[in-house]
Order: sequence, then structure tokens, then C-alpha cells
Amino acid sequence: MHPDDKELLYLFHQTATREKAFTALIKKYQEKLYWHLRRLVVDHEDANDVLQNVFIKVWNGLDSFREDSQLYTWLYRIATNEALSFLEQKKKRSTVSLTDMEEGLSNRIKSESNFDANKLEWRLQLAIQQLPEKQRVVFNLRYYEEMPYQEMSRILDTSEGALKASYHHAARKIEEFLKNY
Amino acid sequence: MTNRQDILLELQEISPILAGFPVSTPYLAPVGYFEGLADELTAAVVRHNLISEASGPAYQVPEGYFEGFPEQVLSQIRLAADADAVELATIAPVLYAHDRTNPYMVPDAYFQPDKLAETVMQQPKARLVTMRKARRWVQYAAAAVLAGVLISGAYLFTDDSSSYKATDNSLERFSVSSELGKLSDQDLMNYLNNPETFIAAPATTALASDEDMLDVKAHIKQVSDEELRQYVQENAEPYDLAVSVKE
Repeated sequence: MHPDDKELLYLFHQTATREKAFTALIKKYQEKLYWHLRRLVVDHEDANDVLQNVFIKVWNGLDSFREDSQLYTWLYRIATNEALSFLEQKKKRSTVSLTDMEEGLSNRIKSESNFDANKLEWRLQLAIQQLPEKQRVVFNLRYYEEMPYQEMSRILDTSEGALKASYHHAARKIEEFLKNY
Repeated sequence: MTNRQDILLELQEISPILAGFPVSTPYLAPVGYFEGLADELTAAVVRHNLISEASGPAYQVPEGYFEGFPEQVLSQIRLAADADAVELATIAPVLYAHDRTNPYMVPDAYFQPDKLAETVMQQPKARLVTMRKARRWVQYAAAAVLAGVLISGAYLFTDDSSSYKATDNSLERFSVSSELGKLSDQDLMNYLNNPETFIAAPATTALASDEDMLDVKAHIKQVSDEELRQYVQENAEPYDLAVSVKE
């Protein structure tokens, strides 16, 4: 059983219990954030690197965190921004084109040890990688994290209407891809 | 979190095929990855934080430097103001002791923003005068003046006789060909032989008319040769022959 967010924040603000509270916070959110990141960056090592950067930012920013918003919303916001920044930097570093980059993500999916092209869940992952980055984030948060549009709106700084439209477009594109696969 | 059932219903409306897909993520994390992750991450974050602190700025300020900084600056400003006052008291004690109250007054509520805006709004709008009209008028005037100057100039320079008559009467009286006609052939020959010393006696000169010359010849006949020689000896000036004749 994980401690309450408020209790975690209180303990974090005490010098004596700061590190202990932070470890508890990581334990509470590590898996959720990891899978969110993994679905975006695909590779485990990349997800691990990004996850570390996320928690470094959380450590540095937790003192100024305003408790009027939920802690998990704030964590997802940092994680999403870090993942998108990571992918952006990877694109800049890469000498290949954007299309090759997307193909690179698909190839990485196919290189996963348990990849099976006949399994629907893997086909779905290949279809998701065809989406633009923002639509990929929206689809993942809604489909896998079951996140309400209201929460998503706080994380992505986008209106609920725009998010609904984005999810709608993403689902249609995925369906088209699955039909033709 | 939203109910899974709601999300599935929403998805069935958009994409029935997708709604039938399993929701599970097929990726695998290394075995035991999450077991020690929290402790590892905490250690990594603390280490990173320590490194960041260690690589911070090398310069340091004395403890409590910034706490008293504003008061320190203010005291410096006050000291400078006091120095100015001492200077004025030394230079002009009367002026230093003089009351510095501003004697001028402004109308009531002059500095209120609304009042100022109202005054500005009440100002009559200036009549707009287009520059194009004025410029065209000046252009026409300049063109007319220029045309007048050109026409007048052309008229004056092409009509020679009238201009001479109008400007110089002495030129009207003087004619080179008629004056040359009055000179004798002997005078012309003398001039050509010795142009440097010759001064022609005009035929019409009052000094030596034909009648005068006859009188002079008659007088000279009456004078004896001895008297003439004596006169010449007394008055002879070898290079002034022409002048003597003239006189």
C-alpha cells in the first residue's frame, strides 16, 4: 500500500525524511511513468534514461510544486514533456529523415524479443507509431491510462474539445492501418 | 480515472475494430527491473544533485552579504546627499537656508489622468491640408516665372539695334567706317610706318582745323628764320613732336 500524496509531500519537505519520502514517491509512480514513457520511446534503455531525467526534475521542482493540482498530473506532465524532448533531440541528432525515424521506431518494435506480427497487440503498437507525436500521446493516455479528458487537458495544456478530436483522428488512422496491414 | 467501459463505448463509436483489440501492452521490462529501481533512482538523483551543487559557482560572498545590502546602498545615497548639502552651505549659505517650497501652482485636479485625457479630447481637430494641392500651385507659379524669363531673354538678345539704342547713345554717334573715311591718306601712311609713336590728328578736331592751319602758316611766314631757330632751340623736345602739334 502506497502512502497518500499529501503525506509524501509533507515528508519530503522535512529534511530528515526527504530522501525516504522521495523513494516512496518513486515506488508509487515508477511503473505507471515507465510504461507511459516506454510506449512513447519504445526502447527500454531510452525509457530508463528518460525516467531518470523525470525524477531528477521532480526532485528539483517538488519544493515549488503547488498542491492545488494533483501530484500524478504534474508527474505525467513532466514525463510527457521529457519524452517528447527526447524524441525531438533524437531526430535532430539523427542524419536520417523523419520518415526513416518513424520506420526506425517500427523496426525497433519488430526487434523486441517477444515480437509476434500475428498478435493484435503488436499490430496495434505498429499502428500507434504511425501517428504524429501529439496524437500518439493523447491516444496512449486515453486508451492505456484511461485518463479523463479533463486531466489530459491539464497535462498537455490543450482544450478538451481539441483532445477529443485528436483522439478521434488517432483511432480512425489506427483502424485504417490495421485494415491494410 | 474514467471507467474502462466508458472508454470502450466511446471507441466503439469511433472504431469498432479497435474496440475489440486487447488493451495490454506487449512490451517487456527486464526481470526485476522495478524491484530496486526506486533506491537506484533516489541514489542517482541525489548524486546528480550533489554533482550539480559541486559544479556550481566558484565565487562566494560573505555570509549575510545580501541581507544588509539594501540598507548599505541607501546609507551611501544619504551620505552623497549630505555631501551636496554641505557643498551648497559652503558656497551660498543664504541660498542653502532659503525655503525650497515651489511657489508655482497648477489648476485643480490638473494631474488627474481623466482630466488630462478630457482636455486632450476637447482640443479642436486641426484642419487637414493636403500637401499635394499646395505643391501643385507652387509648381505652376515656378513654371510661369521660368517661362517669362526665357521669353524676355530671347526677345532682348535677338533684337540688337533696339538694345544699343536703348542702352548707349555714345555708340549710336560713333561709327568706325565713317571716322576712318575722314582720315587723310598721309595720316594712315604715317600710322602704318610708325604705329607706336603716331597719334593721328582727327580731321574734325577743334585744335587744328584747316582754317587754323592757314592762319598759322600766314603767321609763320611773317616770322624771320632767325626767330624761328631761336624758338626751336629754346622749346625743342625731341620725342614730343606729336604732342606739340596737338597743343
